[in-house]
Amino acid sequence: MIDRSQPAIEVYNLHRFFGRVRAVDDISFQVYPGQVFGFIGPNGAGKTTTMRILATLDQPSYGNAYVAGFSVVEDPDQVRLRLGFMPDYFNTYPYVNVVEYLDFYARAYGLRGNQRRRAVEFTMHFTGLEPLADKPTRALSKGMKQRLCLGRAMIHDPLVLVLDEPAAGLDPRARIELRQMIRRLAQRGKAVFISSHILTELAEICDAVGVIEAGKLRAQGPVEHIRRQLARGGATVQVELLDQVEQAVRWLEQHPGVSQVERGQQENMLTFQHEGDASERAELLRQMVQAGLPVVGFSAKGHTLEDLFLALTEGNVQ
Amino acid sequence: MTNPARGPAAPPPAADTSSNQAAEGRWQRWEAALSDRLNPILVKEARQGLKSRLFVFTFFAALLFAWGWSVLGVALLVDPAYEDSRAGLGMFLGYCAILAFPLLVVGPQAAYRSMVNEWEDATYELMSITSLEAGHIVRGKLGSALLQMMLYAAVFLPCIGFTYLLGGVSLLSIAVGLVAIFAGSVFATQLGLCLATMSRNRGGQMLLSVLFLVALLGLYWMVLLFVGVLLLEGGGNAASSPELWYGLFVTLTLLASYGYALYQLTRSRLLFPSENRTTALRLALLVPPALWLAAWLAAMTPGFGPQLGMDDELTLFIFSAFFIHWAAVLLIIGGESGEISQRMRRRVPRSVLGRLFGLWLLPGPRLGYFYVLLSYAGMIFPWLLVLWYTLPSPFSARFRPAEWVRLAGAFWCYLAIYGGIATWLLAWLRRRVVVNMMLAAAVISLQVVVFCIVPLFVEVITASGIPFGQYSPIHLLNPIITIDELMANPAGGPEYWLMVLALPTVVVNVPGAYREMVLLYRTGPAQQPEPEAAAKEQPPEHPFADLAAGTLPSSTAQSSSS
Repeated sequence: MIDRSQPAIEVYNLHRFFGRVRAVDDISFQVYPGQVFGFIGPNGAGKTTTMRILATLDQPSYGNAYVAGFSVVEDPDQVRLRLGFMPDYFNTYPYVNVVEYLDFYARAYGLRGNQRRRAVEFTMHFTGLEPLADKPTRALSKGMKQRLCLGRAMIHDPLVLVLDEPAAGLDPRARIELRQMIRRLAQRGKAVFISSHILTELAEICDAVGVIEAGKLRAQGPVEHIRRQLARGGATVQVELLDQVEQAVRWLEQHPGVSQVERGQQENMLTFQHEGDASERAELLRQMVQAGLPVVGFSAKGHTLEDLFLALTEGNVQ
Repeated sequence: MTNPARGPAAPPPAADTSSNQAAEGRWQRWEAALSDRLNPILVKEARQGLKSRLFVFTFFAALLFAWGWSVLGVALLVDPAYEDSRAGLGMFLGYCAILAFPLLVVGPQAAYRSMVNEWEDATYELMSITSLEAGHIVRGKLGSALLQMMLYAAVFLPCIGFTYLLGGVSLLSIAVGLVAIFAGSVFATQLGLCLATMSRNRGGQMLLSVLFLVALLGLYWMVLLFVGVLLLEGGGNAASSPELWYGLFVTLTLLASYGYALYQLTRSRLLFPSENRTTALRLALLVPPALWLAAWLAAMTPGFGPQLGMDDELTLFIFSAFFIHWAAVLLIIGGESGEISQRMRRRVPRSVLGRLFGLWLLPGPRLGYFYVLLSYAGMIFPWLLVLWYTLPSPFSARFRPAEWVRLAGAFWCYLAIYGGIATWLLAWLRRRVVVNMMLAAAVISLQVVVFCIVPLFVEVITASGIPFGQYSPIHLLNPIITIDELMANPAGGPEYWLMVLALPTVVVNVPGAYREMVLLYRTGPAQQPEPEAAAKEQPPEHPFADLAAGTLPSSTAQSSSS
């Protein structure tokens, strides 16, 4: 049974230096079983380095990370049994077919006999690779190779899955299917630690995110939590009016907490920045109606993950 | 079992069908059990290697050549003009030439490529984070090469049997010839695997690939020459020469010991930096020099070894091989990273005995330098002293201890000087760049140029002052010229000057070795508070435990591939 109250990944004060470059600079976070944790950052931010340390392919300069309670520094062998890693770049063996490829990794993880056969069978079923069992891996499409790599990472049924840019280069259908698979893995109690440049992808599957830039973790936590934190600085409000657009502009410009009032692309649309939370926006709407402005539509545009990313990062590179 | 209540019983199967099915079931169970016990790399490599174009092409080409040679041989034999009782010998040598090419050239090169491809295709990292250890990977690839060798052997076995029937070659000679080819092939494959780990950039790999191919072609001709000379001189009977058995035994033992050392070197290069990459390798590197000394003793002892009648040459040859071995070890150790992980530091021996016997086997290039000097001295000098005082007269008459102690001492001084300077220079470089075996080789090569080649040029340029060909002190650091002088002129004294030079190079490395030792015993920074891991007490959950209940989740859309 998976204990969902114990973190599956714990990272404490992790540092990784390459000469003078601080690839990872004092980051700490936790990921729980059943959680999908998105790791967002520009190129060179330290995402892959962090993931490689978790996968025991690299060692921290300082700090430590634990997978299912085992240290990546002290007990890498135990960590490997409990973690599946899908790198951003990988290749397969040219002369083996799909089932042989998965069978090899099942053997490599120490699965024997029926246990191994069941693991291969389940993985092929889960990733939808059953019809391609006898197909040479070199003949697979990019999307199918990504599935195969995900299957390889999960063949030993690890508690933690670390996926580095799994959706890169996939067509929309393959991306949707991959997203579904990741969600199902999380439902099965896996802790999924995932990085991607496609933030809209992450927004739909992540329970929590960490935003990393120049090796430092700028923000972390549930997406809604970060969104609310950022929303304290205001929101963009869009208003649709039946008419009296000029009066509405003048009224809004005089109202405290409203700024940057602009006409929208359509004649009867206005957008403005409002400093306040949802209850204050409700009060603003009530006052507009009381002032006799013919409001047809009123909507506050929330912060997308892209907004969060742009707000939290400064475009620093190292 | 059929339940009669559910309908008419099926006709009982025939007894032989039932026993056939049972036998088939037993066979399948046995096959599955065997398959489970096989090295996963061996299974993967066999699946991959036997389907590769290279194997298929080479296999059928070898078959074609063997068939062609058989046809030619039979055509010659039926010719009444060709009457030779040694026809089988010629046929056998022809088959050896055909068989040796895939075994000594194609197979090892394929093993080299197989390992290199793991880096190039980025498949190695994925493999390295499974439960497989580095040793599994090396043994699996070696096992796959052995499997291919067995396939070739199986195909050539009827042809070789045919040569025996033709006469002119004994079974023993056939066995010796085949053993030479197979031993050479295994060693070359292990060497290829080791070389493949030496460089991870494309340029270095290409260079190594070309050099390895040239070496393999050389090995091919050497082995063929050995087998040819052996059989032609012995008239198809290898057992006729007692020296042959001595030489064959020594060669095979040394090949095995160096093969094992190469295996440990390959394994150490595949291990993660958090692992102990050193101790097993250093222990393995102690075996070949011990065998060199044993071979020397065997050759020198009357009644045991052959009466070679070339004591000095043999001693010089074996002492030189002993020296070259330790020089190569210095090169390997010089290229060590010197990085000692926290995990490694926590596992160093802490008992008095552990420190006494285990410290010099622990990671660290300067500790490694002292490992070489101590191992060399610890192996050769006590041996010589024991022989000096204890041997009975027949042996002691052949034994010239004073000369050989001088010789061994001079070689030790060269190791101390060249190794000491290289270790010191590499420690300095290590603060600026990443030091590897290539850089260590470059530093030692630079010393050879400065200490050996430059003095030769100086001598040539100033020939009027220093007579060319005579020993001069400017060649003191040239081991070849100085050892030659030592052998030729027992009254000379270059060994004392060598000792004077060796002493400071040893002393200058003592503080560094002490620092490495202290670092080993200093545990890393305090760990972060460890989480309460209940899982630590338990083994990992049974993989796909929920499948036992038959709860397969629904699959995603089974979309088509490309």
